[in-house]
Amino acid sequence: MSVDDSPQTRVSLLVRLRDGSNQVAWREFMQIYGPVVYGFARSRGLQDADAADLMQDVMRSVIGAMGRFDYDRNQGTFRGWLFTVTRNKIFNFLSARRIRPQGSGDSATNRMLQAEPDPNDGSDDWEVEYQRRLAGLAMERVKSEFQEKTWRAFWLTAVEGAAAADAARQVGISSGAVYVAKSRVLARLKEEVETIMQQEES
Amino acid sequence: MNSDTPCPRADELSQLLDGSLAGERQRECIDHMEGCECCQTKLEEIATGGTNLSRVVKHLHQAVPVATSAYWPALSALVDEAPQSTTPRPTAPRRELTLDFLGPPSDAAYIGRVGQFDVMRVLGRGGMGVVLEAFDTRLQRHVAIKVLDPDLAADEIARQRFCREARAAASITHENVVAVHNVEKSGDDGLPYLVMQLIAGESLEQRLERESPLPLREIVRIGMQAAHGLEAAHAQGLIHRDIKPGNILLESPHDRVKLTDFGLARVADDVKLTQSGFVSGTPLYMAPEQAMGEEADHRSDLFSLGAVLYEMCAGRPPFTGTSALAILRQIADERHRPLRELNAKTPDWLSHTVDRLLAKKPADRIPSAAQLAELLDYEWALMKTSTSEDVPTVCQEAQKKRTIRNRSIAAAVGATFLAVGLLGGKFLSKNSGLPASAVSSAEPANVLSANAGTVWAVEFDPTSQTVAMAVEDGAVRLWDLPTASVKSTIDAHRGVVWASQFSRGGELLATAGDDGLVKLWELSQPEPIRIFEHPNAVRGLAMAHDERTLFAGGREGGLRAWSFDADQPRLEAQQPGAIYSVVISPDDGTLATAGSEKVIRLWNAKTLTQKLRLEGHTGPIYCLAFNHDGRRLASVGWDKTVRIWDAASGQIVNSWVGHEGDIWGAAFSPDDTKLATGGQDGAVKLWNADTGELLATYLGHKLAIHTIAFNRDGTLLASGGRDGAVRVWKIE
Repeated sequence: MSVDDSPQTRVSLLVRLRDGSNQVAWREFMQIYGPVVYGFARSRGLQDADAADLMQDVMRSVIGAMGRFDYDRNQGTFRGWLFTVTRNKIFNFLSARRIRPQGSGDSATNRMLQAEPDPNDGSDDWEVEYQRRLAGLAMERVKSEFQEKTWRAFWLTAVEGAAAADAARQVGISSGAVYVAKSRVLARLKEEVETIMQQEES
Repeated sequence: MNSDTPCPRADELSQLLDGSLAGERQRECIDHMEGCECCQTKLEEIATGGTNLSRVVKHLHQAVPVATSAYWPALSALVDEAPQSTTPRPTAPRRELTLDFLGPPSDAAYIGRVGQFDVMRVLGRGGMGVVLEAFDTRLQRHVAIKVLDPDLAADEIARQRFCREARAAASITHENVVAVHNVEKSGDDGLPYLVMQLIAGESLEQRLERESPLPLREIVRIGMQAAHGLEAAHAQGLIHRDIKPGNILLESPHDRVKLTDFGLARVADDVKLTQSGFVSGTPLYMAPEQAMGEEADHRSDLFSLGAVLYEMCAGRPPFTGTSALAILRQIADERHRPLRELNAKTPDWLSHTVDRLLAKKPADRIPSAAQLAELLDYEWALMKTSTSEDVPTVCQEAQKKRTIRNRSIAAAVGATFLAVGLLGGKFLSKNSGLPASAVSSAEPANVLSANAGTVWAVEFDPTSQTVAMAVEDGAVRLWDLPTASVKSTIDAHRGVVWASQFSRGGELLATAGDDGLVKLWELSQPEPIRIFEHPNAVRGLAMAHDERTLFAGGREGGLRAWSFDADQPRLEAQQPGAIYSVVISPDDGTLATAGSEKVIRLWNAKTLTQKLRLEGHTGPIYCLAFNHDGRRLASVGWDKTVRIWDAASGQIVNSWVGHEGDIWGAAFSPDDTKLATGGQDGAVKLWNADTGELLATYLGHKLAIHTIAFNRDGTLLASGGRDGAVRVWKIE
C-alpha cells in the first residue's frame, strides 16, 4: 500500500475517491474491489476473460459515478451500491447470452419474469468475496510482522487446511506451537481487517 | 503428558495469543494445546473474536486471480486510464461566487456590464454558476445571462464542454425549450456565458413548494409540454441529463412550460468537482443507468420526466432516502410505491404511464419523448373541453344499479333535453361562421343518456331497434330505441369499455375494455361466452363478418386475432405506439389498424402480414372506416383532416379539413355516398363521400363526440361522446 498507514491521519478511501483526481485512492480502490468483482463474477459462472471484462466495466462505472454523489459516510452502503452495479452488469451479460425459446402464449410473461433480477441474488456470495478480499489484504500487510515459521504454520493449517501434525513436521515446531501460531496470526488478521474496514468506510 | 496438565484459563489463552504469558507457563500451555481439542477451539475463537475469519481464510490462496488471468491486464489498463488529471483539486470550500467579472455599468441603475449587456440583478445561483437578468443594449431586449462558475471555467475541459453544450442547446428552437440566443465570452478573463431568453414565471420546483400534489389538468399540461420540449431536443440528438422540477420553468401568463439547462449537467460531471453543494446534486430524478455511472441516453430523460410526473401526482419524488447513496440504491433496486397509494385520484392511465417511464431497464420504458407527448396530447384532448362540472360522473346510485343485471332504467331524457336546448343555442352562436345552409336545424330524433360517463362506442343492431352504447363506467347499455329506455346493462369490463360491436346477424356482441379483456356475449345470456386476454388496454376491436374471428389492438401496439373456438390468440403482430382503431374489410380479407403512429397499416387478415402503409396524417389517427364495397377506407384524427384512401392501392383519393378540432369518429352510409364524422368541436358533419362537400352539420352535443354510426338502412345516425349522451339523428 502506497499510502500512509496511520488510521488517524488517513482520510477514508471513499472521501479521497470522491476527489476524482486522487490516483492513489483509485489504485487502492481497485486493489480492494477489483478481485471482489472478479471473484463474484466467477462465482456466478463467468469465464476468466468475461469476468475480467466485467470487472473493468464495473470499475469504469464507478469512475463515472463517483464524481457526482455526495456520500453519506455514516451509511456504509457503498459496498451495497457496488454490489448492485456488479450484479446488474452480470445479469445483463448473462441475459445477453441466454438463448430463450421464442414462442407464443405466455412467453411474454415468462420473459418479464425472467428479466426481473432477484434482489437478494448472490448478496451472501458477494459478502463472502469481500471478506476474503479484506482478509487477503490484511494478510499481505501483517505477514512481515511474523517469524517465517509462525507464518508457515498458520498458512499450512488455516489456509491450506493441513493437519496440525503435518504442519508441525514441515515447519519443524511442535503441534501445540502450530495451534498457537495459527491463532496468533488469526488474531492479528482480525485486527487488521477491522482497521481496513474502518479506513474504507469511516 | 499434555492432556494431564489442567486447561489454561481464558485470560491465559488471551495472554498466550499476545505473547504476554510468562515463559514457563507459556511453554506448558503450548504443550497443552497439542492434545486438547477443546482448548484448540477455544483459542481460535478468542483469536477470531467469534467472527467467521477462520472460514474466510480457508483456501484463500485460490481467491486471487491466477497470474495468467485476463484480470491482470484488465486491471493495469484501468490503472492507466482512471484518473484524468494528476493535480489534486483544491479541497477548500468553494468560494462564494462574486461578480468580479462584471465591468462598470453604463448607467447607475445597473449593477454592472458584460459585453453589450447591462446587468440589472442576480436572478439566482445554481450549480453551474450565476444567473443574471440583463438588458441587451444592441438588440434592445431583456435577457437572462448564465455565467459559468469561475471555478469551473478554470478547467479547460469544462469550459469547452460548456460552450459546446450551450451551442447545441442554441440549435433547439421550440416553444417548450428556453431559447439560447448566444454563447459569449467576457472580455478580460474570457469567462464564458450564455445569453438566454428571459422567462417570467417560476420553476416547477417553486410551484411544487406552493402546491403539491398538483391538479390533474396541470400535471397533464406540464407533462405534455415538457415531453414536447424533450421531443424537440432529442430530435437534434441532444440529451438533457438532468430533468428535474428546477429545470422546468412555468412561464406566466401564458402557462407555457419551458425546459432549461440542456446538457449542462454534464459539464459539472466532467470536472468531477466533488465539494459539497456543487455536484450535479440530488439524484432524486436520476435514471438507474445514470445512478450506476453508465452513459445516459434519451430514455434517461424519459425516466427523469417520469419521476417529475410522479412527484406532481404524489407530492413527493418516487425515491426518497436520507442520503444520496440511499436514493441511488433505491433507484437501482426498488420499485416505487404505486401512485394510487399516495394519491387515490390518479387515473389509471397516468399511473400506468408513470410506471412505464420509471422502468428500471431503458428498453422497458416508453421508447421516445414523441410517443409520450402523443399519449399526453391524447389525454389532454380528452380533458381539455371539460371541467369537473360538465363531465357526467358515475354517481354511487348508478353504480349500485349497474350491478343489477337486465334492469330497465327510465332515462332522464327530459332533463337532458333541457340542457341540450340551452347549450345547443350557445354552440350555434359560437359557430355562426359556418355557412347557414350547412347547419341543420334538426333536433335529434332521440337523446339517450344514462349520465354514466363518456360514450366511447355506439352501434345499431341489424333491426335498428336497439342501440348499444359502450360507456366509461365499464358497462355496455342496450337501449330500446322506440321507448328510449335501457333494455339491459351488460357489466362488461373493469374500467372503460373502449369498443363494442354487433355480429352481422346481431346475436353476438363483442366488447373490449381498459382491463385488457375482449369478451364475446350472446345477448340472451348473462355471462360472456368467451373471454380473450390481451396484454394491455384494448382500444380497437373488429369482428370478422364470418363471425368466427375477433381482432383487437392494444394501447401498446399489440395486435391479436382470436378464433372463437380457442382461448389463445391465433395470430399476433406488433406495431409501434398505441392502436386506437381496428377495422376489417367487408370481405374479411384486409385488416386496417391505426393509432398514435400517424400511419395506417393494412394487413392480410388471414395471416396478419402487413400489406401496405398509408402515410399522410400528421398526428395520431383516432378512427378508421371501410366503406361497404371495401374499396375505400376513411381515416380521421388529431390533424382535423378527413382522408379517403383507395384500399387496394393505398393511394390517397381525397382529403379535406373536417372539423375545428380533433376528429374522433367516422362512418360511411350504407350506400357509400355519404361519410359522417364527429369531432372535438361537438359537431356531427355529413359529407359527400366522393367530393368532400359538406351536406349537413348537426349540433347538439355540448362536448367532444367520440363515436358515430349509421343504422342498417342509412336513415338514422347515432353520435356519442363526452357528454354521456347518444343522439340519434334522422338522415334525409
